[in-house]
Amino acid sequence: MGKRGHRKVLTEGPSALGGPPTQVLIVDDDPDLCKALGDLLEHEGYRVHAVGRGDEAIQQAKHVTYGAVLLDLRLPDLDGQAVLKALTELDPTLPVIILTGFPTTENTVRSLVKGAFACLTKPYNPDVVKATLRRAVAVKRLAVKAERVESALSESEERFRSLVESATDAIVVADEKGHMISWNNAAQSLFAYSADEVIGKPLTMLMPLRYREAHQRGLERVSATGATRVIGKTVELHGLRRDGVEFPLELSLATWKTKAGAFYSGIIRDISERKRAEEALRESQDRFRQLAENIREVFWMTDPQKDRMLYVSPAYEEIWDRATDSLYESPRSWLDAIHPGDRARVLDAAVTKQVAGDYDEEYRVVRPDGTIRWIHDRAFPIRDESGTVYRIAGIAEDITERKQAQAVLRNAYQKTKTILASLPGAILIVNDQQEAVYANSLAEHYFGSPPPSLVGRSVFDILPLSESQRVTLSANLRSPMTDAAKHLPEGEFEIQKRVYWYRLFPVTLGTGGRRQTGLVIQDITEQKLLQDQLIQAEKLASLGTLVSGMAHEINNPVQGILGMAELILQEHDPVVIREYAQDIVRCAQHTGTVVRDFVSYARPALSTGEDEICLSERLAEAVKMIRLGPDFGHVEVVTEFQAVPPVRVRRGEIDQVFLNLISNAVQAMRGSGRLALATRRIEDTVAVQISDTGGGIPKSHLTRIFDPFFTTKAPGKGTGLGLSIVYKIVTKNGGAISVDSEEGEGTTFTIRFPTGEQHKEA
Amino acid sequence: MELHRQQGLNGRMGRVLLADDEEHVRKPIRLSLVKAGYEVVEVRDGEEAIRTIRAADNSLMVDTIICDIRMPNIDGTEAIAYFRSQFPTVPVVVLTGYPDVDLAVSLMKHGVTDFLVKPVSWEELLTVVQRSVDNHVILKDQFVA
Repeated sequence: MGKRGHRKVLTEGPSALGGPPTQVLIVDDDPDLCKALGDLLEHEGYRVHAVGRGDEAIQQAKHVTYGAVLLDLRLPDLDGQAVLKALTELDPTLPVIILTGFPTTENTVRSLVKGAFACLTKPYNPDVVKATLRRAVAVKRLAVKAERVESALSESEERFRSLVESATDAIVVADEKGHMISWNNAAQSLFAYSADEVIGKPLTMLMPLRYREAHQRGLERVSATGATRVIGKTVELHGLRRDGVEFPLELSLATWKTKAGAFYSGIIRDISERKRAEEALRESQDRFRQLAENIREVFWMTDPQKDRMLYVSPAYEEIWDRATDSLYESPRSWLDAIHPGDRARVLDAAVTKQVAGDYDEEYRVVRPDGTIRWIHDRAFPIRDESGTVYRIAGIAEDITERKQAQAVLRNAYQKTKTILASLPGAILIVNDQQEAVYANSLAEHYFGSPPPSLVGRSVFDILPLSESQRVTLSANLRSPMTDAAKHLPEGEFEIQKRVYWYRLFPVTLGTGGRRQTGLVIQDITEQKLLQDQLIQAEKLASLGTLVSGMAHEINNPVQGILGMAELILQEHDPVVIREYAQDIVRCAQHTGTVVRDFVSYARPALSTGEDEICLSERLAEAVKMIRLGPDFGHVEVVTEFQAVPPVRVRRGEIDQVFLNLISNAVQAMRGSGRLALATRRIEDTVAVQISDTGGGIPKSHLTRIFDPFFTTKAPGKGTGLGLSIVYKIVTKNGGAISVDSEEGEGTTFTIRFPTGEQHKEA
Repeated sequence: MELHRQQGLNGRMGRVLLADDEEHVRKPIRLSLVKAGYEVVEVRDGEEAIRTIRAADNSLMVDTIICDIRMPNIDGTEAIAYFRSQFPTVPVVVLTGYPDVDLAVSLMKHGVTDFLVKPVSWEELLTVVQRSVDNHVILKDQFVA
């Protein structure tokens, strides 16, 4: 190579092309010629190989690529034409130059037809040989080059095809009229058309109707002006699948021109998924934004160091009355808004708890106008894939109203509690299991010894009642009650010599709540005592009246006894004395009867409890007593006693009632009239009627006669308690009293007591 | 009306109207007064008392009225009111078994001479009746004179 390197004069030599020296094969049976020609050509820069026989030449050509062959047609073994044929068959591009000592037209033409590059005659002109050889080598080189190009081209085409076929994107090629000429697998699966169905068809079949006109105009514009809008860009369009369904696609369009005209290639990608993902993302973002911007709560996000406010929702402006911008600019300004009393605690909690995830604080913020809002603030750490906290998200809500409502509720609760606790009555509230759910302090005081609290205990455990009281209370607790009920169940019971009065009331809970019942309990032991004393006092008062009458009734016979006895003292006639003594006996007997009647009527009842009482009998006794009194005069007594069952009442008290009413009736008649006494059974009650024909009671007084201290008598003539005590006694014994009066006609009192059996059931 | 007088004395001690509805009250008083020389007219109620005193020749014929309060028909209170208004010079002595202070005060205001509560001893009654009758007799004599 170096040797040829300095032979630069040989500009036309094969070395000028660079690369390895071109090999030349000389085929001639004349060794001298081979030698001379060889020298000549080697001098020219070729590498020369010479053989003397045809088969040797063919063998050689099979192994070595020659740039050209110089072939003698007269060879000892084979015909030159045959060798030529064999060589060109081996390598069609190998230039074979024929060298012949006997040039004939026939041979020359035959050789050239058979593919010889040229025909030269011996003795040869070295310059002609050199020039011919040079041309031949150049042709061969071109041929080799062409072959290489061709092979490279086909390789590239192959590569391209497999690329196109294996592409996941649809690749469609169309000519300048818009007819498809190429269709890959991906296009087939995307549009659901096979290649056969689309090749040669217009592109418009792949697009929805609305695109087709624009597409056509675009094609025309491109072919007319070369100007395109979409070439080289990626555009998003819609495609039309074989089944008529549209789908979003992304199209990258390229175009090129050849002599055959313009071509377009499109790379089409189905972006349904991406669109859906984008849509979902946008929706999610929209949702977040709508949520964050419309919720009453403030959503916020910061870095863990609290140096950067990443997001704060607009509700911040409303609650804090500060611009969100101020928070972005100065992330720590949230702290300034916090009430000084809460600031240190909140800061401490923010620093220590936010990253841990248990930040949950209530605090006050002071708005610029000085008003206070209560905030409930919670925060959650957000971690990256490695678990490191890289953000803090939080929710802050305005709980001022809730706080206020809580305060109101707490106040109301405190108030209620205070009221209940300080009531002079004991309050027990029991649930539908009859267990106490509330007891005020007085209830604890009455029934709570020893502690613990009454709450949770059964009401029957708290109140050690007798069997009958227990049955009554249990029935009362089960009775339906409404707030509107005017007559709430009430009753009395006795525990350890203390008398208690109770009334039930329904406790209304929120909807769906279980039924609860309240008991107001009052210790009425003293009240009872006073009442008994009052009744006793009134009894004494009415007895006082009786005693006056009694005195008259006794004093008359005593007067007789005294007078007779004094006469006896001065009498000597035994007959007269006997007569007087008989008078004395009669008088004394009368006195005894009066006293006995009185005592038996007025004696205190043996038991203070209830007895089975016959009301007719008590009426008769009462009228008998009153007859003795000074006012009875000539009153006519009419009785109409039917057979009535006994009632359970306190005898002494009932006597007092009758005494009082009959004595009123007698007084009202001023010594003459008709006193009618009647008993009869009406349904489950025994009714007693006491009627007089006195002056009656004015209408205006009728409603007040049972009021305590109401009296029409002159001062000192009555306490005004009589009828109120009558009323009290009657109701206390389970009865009812009513009055009917007509001025100038008279008055009728009617008292009804439940019969014994009925009274027990109640 | 029953008139009782002691044989011999002929009622010179004076005439007493005794009004009481009880026989065993009236009887010993009547017997004692008659024995003491008084003439006794017995009635059983207020109505009879009034009728008796009006039927008499004149009011001067009765020197004292002993009157119970509780009596049938017209009771003592009513009768006394009548006596005091129609015969104000005739002394009235109340004799009652009914020890009512209010009533006593009220009747004393109406001018009754005395208010005796049963039982009264004969001595006490006699003292009151004597004084009462004597006063009336003196008064009567002055009228007559």
